[in-house]
Amino acid sequence: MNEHYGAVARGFHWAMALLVLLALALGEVMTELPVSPQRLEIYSYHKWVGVTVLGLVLVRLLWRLAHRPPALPAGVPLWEQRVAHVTHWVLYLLMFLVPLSGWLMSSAKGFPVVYLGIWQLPDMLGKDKALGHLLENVHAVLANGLLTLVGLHVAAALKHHFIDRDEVLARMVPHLRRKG
Amino acid sequence: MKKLLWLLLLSVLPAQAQQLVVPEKSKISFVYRQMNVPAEGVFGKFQATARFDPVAPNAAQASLVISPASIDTSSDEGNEIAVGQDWFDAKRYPEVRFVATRVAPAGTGRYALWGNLTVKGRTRPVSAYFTAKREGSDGWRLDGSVPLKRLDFALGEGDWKDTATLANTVEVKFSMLLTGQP
Repeated sequence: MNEHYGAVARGFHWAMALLVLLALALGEVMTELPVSPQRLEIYSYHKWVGVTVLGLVLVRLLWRLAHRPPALPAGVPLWEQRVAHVTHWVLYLLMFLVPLSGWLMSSAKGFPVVYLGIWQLPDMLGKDKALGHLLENVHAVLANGLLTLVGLHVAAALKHHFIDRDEVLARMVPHLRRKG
Repeated sequence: MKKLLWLLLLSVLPAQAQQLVVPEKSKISFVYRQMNVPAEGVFGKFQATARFDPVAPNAAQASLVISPASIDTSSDEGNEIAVGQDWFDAKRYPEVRFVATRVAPAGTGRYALWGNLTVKGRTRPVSAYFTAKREGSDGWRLDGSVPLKRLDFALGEGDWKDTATLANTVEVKFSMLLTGQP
């Protein structure tokens, strides 16, 4: 049971981990800042990272549908396998929905998304203040959901590695494989 | 003295002018750019008087008073900042004023407009092109735009002087419905 994720899957996973955490952190910071040029700047960075996540998750999903992940170790109880399975798919869903809701929210508020300050993405909704406010809440709730699931996902990986002392985490970090 | 004469002339004009600007069918908006993201804002409250006859454009007259407190930048937080001291300082300067000094034809249905714009106690000459189209039986729709440099009027002080985040050029657009016989 030493099968681990391939290099492409690991690349997707860790790139996505970095980007999602960055977007969440920027999102937290920017909403706390007073209105200032610095805040406007961080808003843009947040949106750029979000759009990158949205693009990457689509490519990642295509890859995932064409490649089976390595099986979980035989010792993992069936219910845990099911929870892990559901969590992974909800994570995929949120990695898609969180940036999408952000884009929709931005459109509704009358601020188009200009990726990297160069490419203006089409507005998917017309300007609508009430809808913008609603989407702001949707975006925040979904983002908090994503943060919670990421937390659970990390906690589960650590639990497998340090408590169960199995090979679950090593599937994504081959360096951690136990000898023998 | 010259200024006083102008003021007298302008205060008399609205009473004489038979043409009226219809506020609810007119709009003053602007496009500003933050991190290269274009966003639209509007001024909800303004008063305009104008006289315009396309047959005699040189005799045209126009004046405009905008209430900067009525600004909507598309963002509630943005609005708070916009009326504050670093921007329009609307408490100290409750009016933005424009007075046209000259209008001249600039092609078919197109005209050039010169005038003085006063924002925050700073008066600067500005010029714009506009078009005139028939609307209704005796109305004219006047559409125009003018790129302004916000820093010419001290719009954005302190940290906001930085133009890398918030561009200096703001495209101001006007669309006025003028009714009545000139």
